[in-house]
Amino acid sequence: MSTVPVTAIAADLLTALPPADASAEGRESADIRTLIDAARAGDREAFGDLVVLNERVVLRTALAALGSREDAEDVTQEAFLVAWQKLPGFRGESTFRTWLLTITWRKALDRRRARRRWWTRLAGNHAEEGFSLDVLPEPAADPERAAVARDLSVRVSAAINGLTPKLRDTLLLATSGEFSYEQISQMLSTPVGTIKWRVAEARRIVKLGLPE
Amino acid sequence: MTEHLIDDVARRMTNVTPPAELRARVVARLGDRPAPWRAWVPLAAAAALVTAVAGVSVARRAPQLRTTTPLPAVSQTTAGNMSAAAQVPATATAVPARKKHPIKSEAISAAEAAWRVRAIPAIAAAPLLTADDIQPQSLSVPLLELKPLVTLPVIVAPIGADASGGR
Repeated sequence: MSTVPVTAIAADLLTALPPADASAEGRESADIRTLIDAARAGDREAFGDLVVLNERVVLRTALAALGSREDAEDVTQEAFLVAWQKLPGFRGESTFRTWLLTITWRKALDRRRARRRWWTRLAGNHAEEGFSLDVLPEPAADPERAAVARDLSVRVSAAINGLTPKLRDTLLLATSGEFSYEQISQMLSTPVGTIKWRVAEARRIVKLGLPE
Repeated sequence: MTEHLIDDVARRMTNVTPPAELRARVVARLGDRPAPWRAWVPLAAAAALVTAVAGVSVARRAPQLRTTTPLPAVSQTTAGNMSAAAQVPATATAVPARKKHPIKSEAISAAEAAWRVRAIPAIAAAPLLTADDIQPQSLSVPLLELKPLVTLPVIVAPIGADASGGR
C-alpha cells in the first residue's frame, strides 16, 4: 500500500497540467465578425476558419455530455453543419461561440438520449457508458507516485462519472476552463445561481468518496 | 487541494485535441443552404390547402341551401293565365341538386302520378274566371225621407197652486 500523501499526488497532477485555453467570450473581434459575415454570405472557406477557431471548445462541450470521443466527434461535425445551415438566421444577440455551443449542447443531449435508449434495450437496465479513462494522461513522476496518482485519478474520475447527469455536466463544463458561468447558464438554459450550486454540490459529493 | 484535484481530473476528462482533418471533413459536408423563401413554401402550401378545403366545403353546402328554401306557392298561382300544365315542371325544379341525399318530395307514388294524369287535364279544361263573373249585384236602397221634428209645448203648473200646500 502506498504511503505517498494525497496532497503530493495532487501537486504532481497540477504541475503536469497544460495551461487552460483563454476564452474568446466577450471579445468577438472584428476579424471574427468578418468571418461570420462572409460565411453567412456563403463563403465556405470563411466558415472553415470558424471551424478551426471553435473546434476544440465544441469538441470539449460534446465530450462533457457524452464521455465518448467518437460520439463527441460525430456531434461536433453535426453541430457545425447545423450552424452552417442556420447561420443566416444568426442575429448576433449572443457571441457566435455561445450560439454554436448551444447548438452543440442540444445535439449532444439528443445523442445521449438516443444512446441511452439503445443501451437500455441492449443491456436491459439504465446503465450508461462511462467516460473512458484513456483521456487521463499519465502524470510524469516516479513509478510509485505515478501509480498512486493514476489510482487517485481513477477514483476521482469514477466519482465524477457517478454523479447525476446535471451535476456531472455542469462540473465538466465549469472545470474545462472554456466557459464562464454565464455561458454555461445560457447553454443549459439554467440560472447562473443554479449552475454555481451544482458545481459546489458536485465537488462536495466527489470529495466524500475520496480518501482523507 | 482536494477541490483542485477534482477540478483537474474533471478538466482532463474533456481535455482532447480535435482531429486534424476536422475542418476538411466539415467543409466537405457543407451543403447548399435552402433559399430564405423556401421557408415560406410549406406555410403557403398549407394556407392554399386550407383555402381549397374551405372553398369545396362552401360549394357543397350552397346547393343544399337553395333546395331547402321553399318556393312560394302564391307566386305560381297568382298568375291567372298560367296553365296547370305549366305548373308541373315548375314544381319539379324544386328538386334538390344533390344526388346523394334526395329530398323525399321528389319520389312520386304511383297513385299520385295517376291522380296527376287525371287531374291536370281537368284543371286545364276548367273555364277561366273573369271579373264580370264575380261582379256582385248593385244594391237597391230606398231613399230616406226626412220629416221635421214636432215639439209639443210643456205645461208646468205654478208653485203653490196646489190646494193642500203641504210639503
